[in-house]
Amino acid sequence: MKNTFLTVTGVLVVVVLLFVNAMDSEQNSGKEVGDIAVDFNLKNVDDNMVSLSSKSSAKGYILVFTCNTCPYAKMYEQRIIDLDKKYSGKGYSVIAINPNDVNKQPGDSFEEMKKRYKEKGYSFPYLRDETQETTMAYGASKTPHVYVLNKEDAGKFRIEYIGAIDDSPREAADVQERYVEEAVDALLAGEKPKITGKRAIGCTIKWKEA
Amino acid sequence: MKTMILFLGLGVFLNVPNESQKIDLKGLKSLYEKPSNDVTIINFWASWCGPCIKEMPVLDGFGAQENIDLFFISMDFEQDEDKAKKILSKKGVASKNYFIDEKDPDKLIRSVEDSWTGAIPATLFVHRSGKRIFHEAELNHEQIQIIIKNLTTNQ
Repeated sequence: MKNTFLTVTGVLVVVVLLFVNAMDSEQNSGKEVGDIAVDFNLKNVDDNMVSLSSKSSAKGYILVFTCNTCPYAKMYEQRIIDLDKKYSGKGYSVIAINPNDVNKQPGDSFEEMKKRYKEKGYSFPYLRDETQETTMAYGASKTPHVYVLNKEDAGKFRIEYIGAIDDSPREAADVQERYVEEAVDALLAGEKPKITGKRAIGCTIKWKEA
Repeated sequence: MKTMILFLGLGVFLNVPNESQKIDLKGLKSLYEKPSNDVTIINFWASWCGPCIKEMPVLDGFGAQENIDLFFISMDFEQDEDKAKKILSKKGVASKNYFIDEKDPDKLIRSVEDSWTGAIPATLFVHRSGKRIFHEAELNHEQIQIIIKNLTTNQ
């Protein structure tokens, strides 16, 4: 009798724990500033696989979830190219990841990505997140959505900034605050970014049908 | 001269369906903090956003219901407001549209809803009691029905 009671109690405790865990993971979907970045292994438009450890000289990365098709992402395309030009030599190069479901957005297919990469002369990897697992792990919700990563001693990358590139999506000439540049400049100076997150409007990521 | 006045008058008349005013954060807040109907729906959209335009007629249909107030809030830049107005009239939108008058997107997004990351379309549903449901993705007719049902039951 006592044994049955203990077993039942035990099972109940496990069930409750599982339930609490499930609730937790739902609430903490995605990463926050200060979290360790999730590594990935995704196919680049040159057919090679790219991960955070691919470039041993990297001090960090400017990780951008973006795509071919979102008008907002297009407004920022040149500015993303310029970010890589400015910072790749200093150890913080751009990695672009296209998460959009091709069935919903054929303009974001791997072939179309290759075309775009060539046309615009991207100097950085443009990866396809076919399973959308990486995008989900980061909690990216829109394009463009930027994560500034900083490499730490143990070879791990910490997220130091999440959000908008700057404060003027429509007119690059009207930019007053360059959030990503300010974050990377701070890291280059051995400091923490003053602004660690700014939200921006963007296109919803086209998720696969569950 | 008379012809000109007539012409201007006609112009004003023709513009009536597209009439859109500016709204600042304070004005926006009053729409959802002091709702004057059972259900208030506030949809954030822009002329460059395909899924936003797709769901627009469906939302507008709900706005025609007596117990629902529906407002479209355009996030368009000033330069694109005419484009937005054309879409509203092409889609025959009857609900009120406002152009957001807030230059800082971060401030706007956080003031509306803490969980909003900034993707559009995004829609805020508010019950007269103050209960809110925020949805950051495209919506279809069935989904809107379910949200309204969830909002109006178990009060």
